[in-house]
Amino acid sequence: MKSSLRKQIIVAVLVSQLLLAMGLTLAIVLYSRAQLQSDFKIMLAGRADSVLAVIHDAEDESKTLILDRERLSIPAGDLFEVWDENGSLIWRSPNWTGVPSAVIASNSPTFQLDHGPVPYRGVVVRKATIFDEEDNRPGRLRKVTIVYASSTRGLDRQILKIGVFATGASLLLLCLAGLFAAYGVSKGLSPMQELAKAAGNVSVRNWNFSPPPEARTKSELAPLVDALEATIAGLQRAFDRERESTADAAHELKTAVAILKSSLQLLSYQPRSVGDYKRGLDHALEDCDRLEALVCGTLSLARAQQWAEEGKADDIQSIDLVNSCEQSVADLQALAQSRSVALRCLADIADDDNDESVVQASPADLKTVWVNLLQNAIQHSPPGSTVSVRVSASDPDHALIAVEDTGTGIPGEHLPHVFERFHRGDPSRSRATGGFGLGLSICKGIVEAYDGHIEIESRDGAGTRVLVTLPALTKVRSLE
Amino acid sequence: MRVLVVEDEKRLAQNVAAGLRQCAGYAVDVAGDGESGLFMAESNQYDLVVLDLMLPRLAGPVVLERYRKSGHETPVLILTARDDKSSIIQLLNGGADDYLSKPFDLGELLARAKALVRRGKGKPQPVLTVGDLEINWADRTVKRAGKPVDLAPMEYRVLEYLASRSRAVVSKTELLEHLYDYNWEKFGNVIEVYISGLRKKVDSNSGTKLIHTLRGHGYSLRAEANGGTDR
Repeated sequence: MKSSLRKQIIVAVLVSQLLLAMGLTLAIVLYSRAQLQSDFKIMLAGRADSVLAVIHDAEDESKTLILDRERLSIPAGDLFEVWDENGSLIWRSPNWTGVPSAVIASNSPTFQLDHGPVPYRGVVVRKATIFDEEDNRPGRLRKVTIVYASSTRGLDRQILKIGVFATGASLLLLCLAGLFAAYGVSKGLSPMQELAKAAGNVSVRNWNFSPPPEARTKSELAPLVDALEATIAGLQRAFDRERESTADAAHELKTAVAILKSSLQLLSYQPRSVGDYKRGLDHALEDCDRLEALVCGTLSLARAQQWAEEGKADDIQSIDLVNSCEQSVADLQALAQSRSVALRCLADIADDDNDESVVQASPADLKTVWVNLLQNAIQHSPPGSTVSVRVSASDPDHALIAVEDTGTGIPGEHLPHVFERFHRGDPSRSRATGGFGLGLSICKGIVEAYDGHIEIESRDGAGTRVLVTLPALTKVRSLE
Repeated sequence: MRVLVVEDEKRLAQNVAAGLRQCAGYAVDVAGDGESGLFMAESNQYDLVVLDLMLPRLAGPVVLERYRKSGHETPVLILTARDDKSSIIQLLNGGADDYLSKPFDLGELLARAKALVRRGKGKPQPVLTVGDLEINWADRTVKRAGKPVDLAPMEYRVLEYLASRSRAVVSKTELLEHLYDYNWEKFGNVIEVYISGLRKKVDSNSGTKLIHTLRGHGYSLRAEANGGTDR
């Protein structure tokens, strides 16, 4: 089961609030208790003083102290003892057996005791005072010890009341805060929920991603919205491209099959002479060759693209670009001569052993690139012109191969599309030369699989230059 | 009958044209791109247009749209390598009469072409009858009173066209326009030769004359002899 982020946040808020409320309640209770206890102590001291006030000398000569009980007014439950300096008990409240001697001995000013079931708290007051100053005769300074205790039941009850009140108030506030937190969190998280819903609605059939407008205004969500938008747009482009090129490939293949099929059917509809059949079969074979070339082209394109995505071919070796280009030029001399086009290879590299013209690649791949580029150049060159391949170093780390022709060029409106699959600058001309618009796509796929770069410069009517940059061995070595 | 094939794939266009010429006996023009296709379709009178969709210069659907907008009623058969239904529905709704997906069967293309031409002429029957004359569109045979009539290909084409417009008066120019493709020099007296040949083969052995000449207007194929003046 999925856990709810909303619930988690609400629970976290409530737990922290509960801790806060508990701490606050405890603090209130402790503070009130300390305050009440100190008040209680003052009260005890006051009551002890009022006991002191009713003590006076006895009339007799024994000079004992007596307590005037008539004048004493203290609460009925209170306990007290009065001792004189000789340690003789002057008075003790009747309902009491006396303070434990340990209390007096401990010299502590306060004490606690249980009187029956009732908890008491008391003070021990030692005072030196002069009682009964009469007839201008100085009285004697007498030292008395008053022990006074009172029930703490009232005090405990009061503390309890404060505790109950504080707890109750905290709980009430906690409930209110909980409701508010639930509301606030729900509201705060709603853009996220809507964003998730909007993202959930996106599919291969529906690329329409409409994030809630408030999600953009939230600093936590805005990067997510941007990332989602970019990803979805990229995916859509990739899907559209894929669909388009699949449709294009299907169109080309179907057309090629349609040609072959119609050629054979045409041949079979009517009885013909042997010569007609032979011509018809030759035509059908040509159609087969075309179909084969198309299938091979489509497959090498798919392979080049797969490499670009997954890594390169197996038979990687160090190849000298000058040699590689010279070989391809030699292979295509026959085609160039048949069209009266001069084909030559130039090297702008000073030293033959220079690493700047050596790349790590599969020889078959490089040959595919050069042959495709040279064929294109030858096919679009007028008789008598020259096609040249120039190998140079664009910088110490990169080799630059330029294939140049002085042919018809590519019109500006086609230039951005020449690397697209099945793109044909001028369909009638490309078809006449048997092209499918795959060559440059294949070159791009291969060059990019080797971390290289391919670009094309052309002026309509003034020739075309294709520039291939490949990482040279020097760079590969320095990286190692 | 004259057909225009608009297809940029040269070999396919050649094969379709050869099929239509050899197996259906049609005159065929070929256009290699949308622009020249539209120009030819609008400047000649065709009985059928075979239109590829992916064409350079002007796309097939645009050619179709402009052709129909300028009021042409000639049936249009679409050739397409796409088989998504929505684009086919759109094309049929946009004025196309039929479609074939590539790779198609040439026999099917020919049959559809013949059917479209028949329907375009308002003659859905596979065998046309004028009086006791029977013209079988499918296998291009002619019978008069149950007996086969052996016609030269060009004579058959003249008769087929007259039959497709039976009861109407067909001018020599119209016949030339519909029986010859672009590359032929068109001479009116050629038609007269074919008509006289047809008369001999179709009408000479029978009491009722079916081929009528309306001097200065043209020819008409009909069973009753009203209004016609014979030479």
